[in-house]
Amino acid sequence: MQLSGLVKDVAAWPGGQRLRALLAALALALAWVAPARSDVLPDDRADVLFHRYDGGGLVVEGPSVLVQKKVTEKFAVNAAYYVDQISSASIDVVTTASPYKEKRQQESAGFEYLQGQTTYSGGFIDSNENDYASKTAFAGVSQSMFGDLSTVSIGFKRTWNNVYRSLKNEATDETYRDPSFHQQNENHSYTLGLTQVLTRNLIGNFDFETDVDEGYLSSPYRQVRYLISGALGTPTAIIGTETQKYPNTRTSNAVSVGLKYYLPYHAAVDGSLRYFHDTWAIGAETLQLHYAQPVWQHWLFEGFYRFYRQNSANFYQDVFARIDEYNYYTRDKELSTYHANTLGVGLSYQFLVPRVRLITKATANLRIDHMMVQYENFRDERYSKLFVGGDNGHASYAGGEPLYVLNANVLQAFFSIWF
Amino acid sequence: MMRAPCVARVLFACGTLTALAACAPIQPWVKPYEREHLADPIMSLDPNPVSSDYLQHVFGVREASRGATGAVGGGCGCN
Repeated sequence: MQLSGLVKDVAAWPGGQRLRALLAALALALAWVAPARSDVLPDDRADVLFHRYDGGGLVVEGPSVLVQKKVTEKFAVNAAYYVDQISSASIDVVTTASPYKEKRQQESAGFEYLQGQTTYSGGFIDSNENDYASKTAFAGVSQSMFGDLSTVSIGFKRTWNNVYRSLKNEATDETYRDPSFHQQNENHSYTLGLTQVLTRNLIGNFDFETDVDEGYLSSPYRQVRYLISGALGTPTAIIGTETQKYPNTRTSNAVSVGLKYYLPYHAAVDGSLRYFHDTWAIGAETLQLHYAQPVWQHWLFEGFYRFYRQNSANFYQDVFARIDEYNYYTRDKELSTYHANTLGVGLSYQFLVPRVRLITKATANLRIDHMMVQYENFRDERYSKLFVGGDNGHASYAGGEPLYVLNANVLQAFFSIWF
Repeated sequence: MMRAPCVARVLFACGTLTALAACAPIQPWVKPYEREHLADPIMSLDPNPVSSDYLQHVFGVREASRGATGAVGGGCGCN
């Protein structure tokens, strides 16, 4: 990635002049710091993971494989393969369509090239599913400095997405791509990072990212509700539906800071805070805590906690007063106001593979997370009388349904080997 | 008792020394031989990238926010 090209590219988007100046200064600083001695690339390793998400009527599972290998001391390659096997009867699906199954497959390849204390990296990601095809190219450069106490990195990513619509043949239960629907969108992403050794027991990190989207950013499936007549939450409410409409542009900024501390009894604790804001007036905060404790000789116990909250987009409403109330309208629960708590535990066992001298270390890992999501302005439409057969024994009227709650379990089981 | 001009000279000298110190190259304050704890595998910022990438995907498709996670993710419809 040529820094000068990146600096020019940043200046092209709105509000980019200030960041352009910052990147130009950073490029100058990186060029100024002459490599004093060599850094090292990550160790050769391979990971095979099975994942399963189960919550809200949605089950997603599949394998994931990641391999990274040094070709020479200065050049390493990596490749990954990932599958989502989806079986969905989520609230979004059962209130507007019928349950479906589909598969998403993602392949990626990348490289790292080390020159002195500078590491150049780049790669490509290809993701395909029946109604969405995405290609991503990314590049970055990182520089160690001040006796390897500081590592500064910048990165650029560009994504090209093709959006389709799946239709279902009810007779054969198979889905197919609607030939009359095809939309596109693009994403540009710019990142800036700093990892800093603060003391002999403490590391800090800072990350900043700007994302710019253009094109069709909506979902062709989701619909909004609007009041035709009557009063919400009463038998008089008559509700209409309309396909949602998003703006065609979106710019977001996210910044995070984190600390990781080595505890004197051979354990580690880390935490991070992230703040997010975008041009759709969505604001979000994330708090993450993690604790790692080696136990006995070969075991590692880990505990996780994550808190997340966001406020809704300025064109989001659960029920609109009328359909022409705004230029844009959505009822995507992902753009609603909610907060979520996630608790997780992990256990790893480190071992040597007998009679395989090529493998220097191996670990078997299990991690389970439980997500609890409380929506604050997205109501559970399944309770509404408008959804045929969906009152769940607790009938209520449109606009008066209980708020939606999502509980989900996330399972990961994976093996890692170093060679 | 120190006279006022002497105090001014001492302050000026301290300020000059501080300014000169600020101009000196920044020295690493944690020496390589003091990084035993930082080199421990439990202090790795991303010890299991295959797992952290997956979790980032799980959270990313359900949340409106994105970015500043230190990870590069591909596109996903996730309708």
